Amino acid sequence: MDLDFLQSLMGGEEMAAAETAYQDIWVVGEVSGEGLTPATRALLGKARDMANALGVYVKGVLFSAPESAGSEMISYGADTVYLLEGAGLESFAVEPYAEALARQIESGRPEIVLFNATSLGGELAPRLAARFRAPLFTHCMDLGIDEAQRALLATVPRLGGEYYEILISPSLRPQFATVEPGVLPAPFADPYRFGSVERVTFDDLPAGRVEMLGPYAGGLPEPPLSRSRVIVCVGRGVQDTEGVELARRLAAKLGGQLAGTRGALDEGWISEEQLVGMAGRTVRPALYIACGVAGAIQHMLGIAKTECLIAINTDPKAEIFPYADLGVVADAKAVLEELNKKLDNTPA
Amino acid sequence: MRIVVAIKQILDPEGITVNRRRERIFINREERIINPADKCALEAALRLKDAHGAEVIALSLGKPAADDALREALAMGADSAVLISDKALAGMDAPTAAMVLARAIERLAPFDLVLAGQTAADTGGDQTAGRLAELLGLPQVLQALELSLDGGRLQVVRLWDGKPVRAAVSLPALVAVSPLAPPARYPHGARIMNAYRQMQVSVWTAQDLGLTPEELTPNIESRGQVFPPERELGTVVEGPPAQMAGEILSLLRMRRLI
Repeated sequence: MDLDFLQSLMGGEEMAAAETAYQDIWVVGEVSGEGLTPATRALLGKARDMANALGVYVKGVLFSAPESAGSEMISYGADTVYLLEGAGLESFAVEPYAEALARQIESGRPEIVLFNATSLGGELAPRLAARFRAPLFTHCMDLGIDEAQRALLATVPRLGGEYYEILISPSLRPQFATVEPGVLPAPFADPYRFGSVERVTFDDLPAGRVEMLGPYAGGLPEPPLSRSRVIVCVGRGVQDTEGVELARRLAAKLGGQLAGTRGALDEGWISEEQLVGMAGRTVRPALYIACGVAGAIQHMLGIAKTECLIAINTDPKAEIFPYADLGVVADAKAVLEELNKKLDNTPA
Repeated sequence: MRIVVAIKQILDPEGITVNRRRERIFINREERIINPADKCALEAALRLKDAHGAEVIALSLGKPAADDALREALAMGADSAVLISDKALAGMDAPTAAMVLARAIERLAPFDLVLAGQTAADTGGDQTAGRLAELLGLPQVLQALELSLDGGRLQVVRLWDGKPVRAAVSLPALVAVSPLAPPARYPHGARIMNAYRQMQVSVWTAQDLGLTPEELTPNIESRGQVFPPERELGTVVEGPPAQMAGEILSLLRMRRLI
């Protein structure tokens, strides 16, 4: 009787091939201060869920990290943690880091390698993906598994997050992805989870060719308003230059920029470059705080693509309120003063 | 010094509206622009040219319409322009695009510096620069804001997790310029006309770069689009300023904006 069909159905040949196939999900983690970064923990939680769906292990990778960080990775879902060490890995340099990780990937053959979409992930992931001729999905908002094809489903933002697209690479392995920090839910830690922490030492890594010279103290040119993430906008309702100054301070504290309405421009509080609306700039910030802004249609057209709009105005019938995520009926100047005070008291 | 700048032509995102409720994407105004980050990279190259003298070569990969993007680069001050355009390259994925660009840059050798934009404003892609560095065997500095040449070394102010830091690298190197870098100059009117009348854009095909159909097979598929929920309008609250400030801060914390 010909059993080839049955055998192939049961994966006879594939079983042998599976020995050399890519499997497991790796998480390249980051450590800050007392332990793993929150994004790393969340990534481990996600990796654990996906590994359960695939029936594989989660393995963590850390560069020059203490053993305690390895144990923390296990408590958040890793089964094995590799602590990569060696000359060149003491502080970040892309060539030795990429080389060490590439060698580890070559010997461990993971099917999925996950990074945080931080500067570290942004430097390493494209280099490794290019080295392995592998797909890379950047700034993912969510991850999933196509169980039929045993492939990663990556939800990536398009047009700056206006909508998302789900991408898949059915055939290429390993698959790389960077995940936007802060989008995955924080997982629970299980301090009794079992796993092993292995130190891997490299002794012949290439030297980094880029010298990191520490923080830059000089002033930077302000990015154009249209690309600012946070904007504090003043209208006539802030009353005077004192109110404008409060708004400027708030903008600085939130890492954003000051802008204004036509009214503010007429009062001479802002420059023409800072005018938002039909006559001025069109902006698309993540956060827009409108202080004493009535919300004339000319102004609203310039801020239509704002993610989060907060409006402060004394007039409860102000036109801006129907568009706002949070409308505050109060004196803009007084609220600005309180906001500044509260932000001074709470460390960021 | 020879600088190669890779630029991509995209549909202006400002002309596109996404209706989240109807789950549709509308193109209101079909205007093609140079990807903002790539334009910043071009500006960085031209600033180096102004300060130290350099030959700036603009390189693009795209449809024949990308000719306009390259003419704009020529008008801004680039010395020559190369367009890689071929029907065989249609629908290629990010790994393939980086590979094709790397081939073209190798063909433009010798070069001292390769510049590219950090991110694409349309697809949100954030990998071409890093891939190019690896494929070309160059050191990389990403998220650059300011570049200056000091002796033979390039001094770069770059962002590291949102904070500006300094880095230095010897040439040849690849630098990816952040879209937050200084915005690009406006080309002079006479130069725009000149770019169309007198300057040439060389066109390279897949065959010129020795690319085989197997190399160009896309390996990434789309499984459709997802639309985030439509923005819900919030509440209007009223009260004493201190309490209102508290309301605002708690919303900011909830949305992870602080």
